[in-house]
Amino acid sequence: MPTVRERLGRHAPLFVLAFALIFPLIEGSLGLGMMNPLLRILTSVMLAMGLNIVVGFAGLLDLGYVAFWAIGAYCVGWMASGHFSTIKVHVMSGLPEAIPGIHLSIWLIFPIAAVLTAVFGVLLGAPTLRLRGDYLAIVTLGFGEIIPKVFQNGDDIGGHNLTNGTAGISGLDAPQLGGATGDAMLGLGWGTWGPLNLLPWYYLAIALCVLCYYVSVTMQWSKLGRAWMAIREDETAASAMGIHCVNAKLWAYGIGASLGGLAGVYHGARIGSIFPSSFQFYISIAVLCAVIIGGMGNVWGAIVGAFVVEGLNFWLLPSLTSWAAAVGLDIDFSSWNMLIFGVLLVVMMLYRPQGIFPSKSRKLVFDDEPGRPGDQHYPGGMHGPDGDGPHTPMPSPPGPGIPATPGIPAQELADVAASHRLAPERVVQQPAAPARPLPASVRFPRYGAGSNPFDRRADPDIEVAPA
Amino acid sequence: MSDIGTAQHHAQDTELLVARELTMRFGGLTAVDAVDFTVPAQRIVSLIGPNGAGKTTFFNMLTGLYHPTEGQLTFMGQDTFGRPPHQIAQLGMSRTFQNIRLFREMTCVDNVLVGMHTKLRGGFLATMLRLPSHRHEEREGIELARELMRFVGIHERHAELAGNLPYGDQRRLEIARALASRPSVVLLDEPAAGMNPQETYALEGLMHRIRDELGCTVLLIEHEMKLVMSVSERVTVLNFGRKIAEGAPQDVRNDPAVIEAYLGSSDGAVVADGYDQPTEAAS
Repeated sequence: MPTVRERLGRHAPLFVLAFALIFPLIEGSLGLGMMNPLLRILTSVMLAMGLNIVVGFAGLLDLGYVAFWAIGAYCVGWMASGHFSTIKVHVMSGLPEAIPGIHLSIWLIFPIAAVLTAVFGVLLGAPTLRLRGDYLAIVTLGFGEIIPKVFQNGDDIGGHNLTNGTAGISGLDAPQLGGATGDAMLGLGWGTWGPLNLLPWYYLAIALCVLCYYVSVTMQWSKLGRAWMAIREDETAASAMGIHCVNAKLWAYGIGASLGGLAGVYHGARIGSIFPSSFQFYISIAVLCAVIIGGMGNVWGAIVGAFVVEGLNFWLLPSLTSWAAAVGLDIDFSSWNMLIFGVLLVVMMLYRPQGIFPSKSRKLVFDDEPGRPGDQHYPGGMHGPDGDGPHTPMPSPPGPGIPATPGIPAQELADVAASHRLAPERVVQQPAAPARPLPASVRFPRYGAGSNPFDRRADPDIEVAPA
Repeated sequence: MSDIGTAQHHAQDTELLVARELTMRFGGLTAVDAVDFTVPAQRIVSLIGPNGAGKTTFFNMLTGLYHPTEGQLTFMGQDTFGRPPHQIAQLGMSRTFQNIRLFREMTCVDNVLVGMHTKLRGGFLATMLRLPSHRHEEREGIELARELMRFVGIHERHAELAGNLPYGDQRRLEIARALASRPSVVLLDEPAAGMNPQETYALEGLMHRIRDELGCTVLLIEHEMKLVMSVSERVTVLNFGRKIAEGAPQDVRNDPAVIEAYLGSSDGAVVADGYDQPTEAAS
């Protein structure tokens, strides 16, 4: 039976979600003024969860993750603004048809951008497949620099103004949730989202974070997620287990990138304008630090890490500055962020290199088995005499080991004892593990149907050699 | 069992694995030189030889980790020469490694589940939507993983990280992981290395059970001669990349070429590794 603590732990995500849902009430009544930085922090939470898939699960060090954020942001720039002014495309935009440009509803842009960034994730990941470690990091770093540069210089690609260069794309459509009808139904300000109406943005961010969390956790304990972790641990062994490492890595790049793309769409739509200068290398590093500080490979680690790193950047330091100003001190704490950040990283790496929440493995609790024996004397340990010197008695194994073939002759056991100069009672036949029939529910079609699913003696593809 | 060594000549169709003149060169060094090798179904066959004889290189060629330089390789009736490891694993060959290569930061159950990779469907949509088919598959996979851990005798440690297991249990977990794909051949690369005599005995029993209860062929590389001689139905000896002897254990251990390879001279001693005293019980 799970303890109270375990039950609480299992439902912890729901408690956190409930707190997140009522947080605006608390924030509003206390007048903390945290909403604006919080929206930026939540964007980083999405990014951290996306990067965690690539770096934490699959172990592919990606220093250019900002590229996918940028692509997501430009998706909304292209598809929900008057940028392409020569054409008029309106899909559920709720805007007058006469307005030039491509105007898609943001609810359509999210899935489109997710697919598009996933494709870019695969395209950018493909050249790096044969690289490991440092070399991989350098190449991804290059991609992280190339993509913003392309956007920066994309105002004249064969005569087409694709990205409007350094001026960026501005005047993005405000998202609509049913327009005026939505306003009437959902309350003031929910039908059409203004830049000063932060509540809908907040709940959208929470919804996206929940989506990223769901994707991360679902993938983590699936065939693909285990393949990622196997590749992270040992790529050679993973391939010997039948894992197509190339495919698995491309999936990681694709899914990680699409989460980054979602964050980009959100960010672009919220800011309402997109500038290539805002997609700096620093952002890749900040998100990577969030993943590392939080604990690589742990979804909650990524979330908390993003809160720590970006909370420092966007809330704590500006707040400190304004508090200092309130008491008459003129200190710009925000300019210290790199210093504080660097010290934080060094301290973390010295004292808790595994991160705030170290990558935890799944705890499986079975009703029909006790927990592991907590003692030191487990059969199979490296006890027993191999070298010289007086032999200490080897403890008799308390539990079953590999069940020996039934009936090793006593003489043979004695021979072993003699040949290794062991006391005869120390060479014992280990009892066989107790048989436990598989639950009747287990019907694994790709394994044998008999009492032993792994038995392949009756397989038609194997012919036994004549003895 | 002495006719197993010659079985290859008249029972071609029962050979799971056939290697013809398999050669591996690293630059100027010929690590494996034109070795003919066959693995009959549901047997325990061994590959022995002094250090550096090319045994592990040969394993790496069979499993696709190395691309052989020359030769032919057929497994389960398919040409596997130069195929990538994951394809060969899919055909039903799995292996353990000389220096244990578990996924150390994953639990034992998850290690075995990775071994089941080729047998799980795990479709993207089914996983993403957590369809019942996906949940069933995961649950049954876990049950089978536990069954397999019970088979090798580490069922009480399913929740532990593989890297935290004692050495002998790590070896067993590696075997469980290799068996999880329901292979027709499992290649064990020095499974007894570092094991105490009792564990080695248990390992011998385990290999018999893999053959008899699972119907899986065992191909063994081992230095512990006592184990090799008692468990194998056929022994192949490599030295400097060449096959110098093949046959039943008794024949191989008395082969002058083998004795010379191990001891440097023909003094009539049985094959020994300097650790084990030769005893009659071994044969």
